[in-house]
Amino acid sequence: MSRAAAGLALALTACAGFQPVSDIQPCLEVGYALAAITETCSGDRAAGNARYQQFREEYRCIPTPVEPDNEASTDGNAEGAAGPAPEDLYDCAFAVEQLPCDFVEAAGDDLEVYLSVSPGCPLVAEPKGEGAR
Amino acid sequence: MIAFITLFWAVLTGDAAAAQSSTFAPEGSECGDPQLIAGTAGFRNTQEAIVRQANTYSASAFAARHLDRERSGDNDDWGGRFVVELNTTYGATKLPVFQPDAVNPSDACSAANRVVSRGLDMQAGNFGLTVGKGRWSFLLSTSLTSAATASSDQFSRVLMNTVIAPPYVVGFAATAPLWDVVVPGPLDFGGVKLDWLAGARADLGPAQLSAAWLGSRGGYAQLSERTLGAYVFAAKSIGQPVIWQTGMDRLDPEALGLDAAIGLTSLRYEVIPTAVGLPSGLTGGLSEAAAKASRLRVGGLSQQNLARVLDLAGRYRLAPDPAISELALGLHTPDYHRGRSADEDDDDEGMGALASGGMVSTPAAYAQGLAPATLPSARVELSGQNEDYTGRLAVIYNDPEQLQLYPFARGALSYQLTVAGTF
Repeated sequence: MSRAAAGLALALTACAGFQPVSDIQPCLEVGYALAAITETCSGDRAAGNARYQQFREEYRCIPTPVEPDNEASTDGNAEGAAGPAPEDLYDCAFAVEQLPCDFVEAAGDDLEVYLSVSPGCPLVAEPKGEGAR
Repeated sequence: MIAFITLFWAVLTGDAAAAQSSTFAPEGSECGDPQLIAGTAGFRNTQEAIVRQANTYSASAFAARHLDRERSGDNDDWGGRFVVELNTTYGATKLPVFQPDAVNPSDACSAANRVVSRGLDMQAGNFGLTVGKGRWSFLLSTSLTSAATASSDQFSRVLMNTVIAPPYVVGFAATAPLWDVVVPGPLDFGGVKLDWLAGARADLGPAQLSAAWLGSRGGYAQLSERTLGAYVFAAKSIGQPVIWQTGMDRLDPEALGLDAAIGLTSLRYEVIPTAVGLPSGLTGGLSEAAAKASRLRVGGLSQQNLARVLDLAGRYRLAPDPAISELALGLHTPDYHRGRSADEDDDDEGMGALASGGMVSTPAAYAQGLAPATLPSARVELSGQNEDYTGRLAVIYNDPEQLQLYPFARGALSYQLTVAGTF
């Protein structure tokens, strides 16, 4: 009975309501936030899409797997912890999305300026010219 | 009123926290109280999913589609028509969430599930009513939209969306004018929104004209012609751009002296603002230029009942990113679709079925986390009718109509139940 009901439930819903996130999701969200703030300020969806493409071309995503040890917060006491808490890795995307339009206008295409707004940005993305990941 | 909305909201979202102890949830995934992560595309999509569905488009489009293009009766007695529709969408978007229960992991909620991707399930209820005598009719159309993050427990999820929430959705939708208009839900969990319109329709002989007041403080008008089914409708609320649509609804070839096997022809051109009313502060607020750029312009052509059993449909997106947005082919039982005058001269009874499939394309929208995509779509419908009532159940995968409004609803499965009657 329970197997049949579970099968029916899965068939009815087609997909699970619960899935793991990608290792590079916090980084991808930075790109999406760049597209969102660009589109919001310019009214130009194509400009937003181009800003995302520019981010993916100029920056490499740093994989950030969710591990049990990563429980410290970037704004809390990190002593003895292996790294930032998984939820804090989205701080960069949040900070970018909240930028005012005059900041966006002044920053133009310089992604380094955008990614300087949060200490979380270097944890999820790095310029392709740096490192050897 | 707040108490009722709060109760409704508690019912909608309560499953996430209260119904987690089940064999239907993956091991270690029974984490309650998920928190949406602001700044993510999924968070933005969640807000937009509510606002887009709940804005002026919903109540006005429902009235235009289901109430206002059917031929009104010419009899001298009081009579009318009602329509109730319930839409449920599983996985309207996906969003990263933080699950605090995983900070102190247990067998029920493992540390690996601290940040996961969860779906957003949406419910939309519409209620429409026309009552009139002679040339004049009263017109009422209401809508309610709600959304909540999907439970990890599939059984609870299905139970919520098919049994528990629908009576609330339909009940609140049907009584929408009694409540305050557009009630935002907690932004960290989705929301509940209401809108309605009420007005009058006049039979002008070869055409009919409707005008209504929108609960969201605006106006609605539609002029429809009888023979060809030509129509134009527009709606506008304060602070929102005009929504308008024109076309030809189910042209009957017999009205032009042509063979009925040609089927019913519909044409449509519509302009829909797709980013109106987003709460400022979520993305810094929308500029005027952004609002204009976010208007969707679409043209469509469909031929139903071709040779009595075949449907063809195509849709072209003129803006943004011009492209064919839908192609579909369907097969159904003979004369499955009814003409505009069906209610007054057709007393058919029985069951019908339809199956269709095709493709739908959505443009790149990286602000919503979307790369361009061409997706398969499918639709299965069952309907039944007697002299006074019709009922229809549709199951839709990648609904082109929905993807037009919410391009992030990729891979979403929707159920649509419609009951209509005349009296």
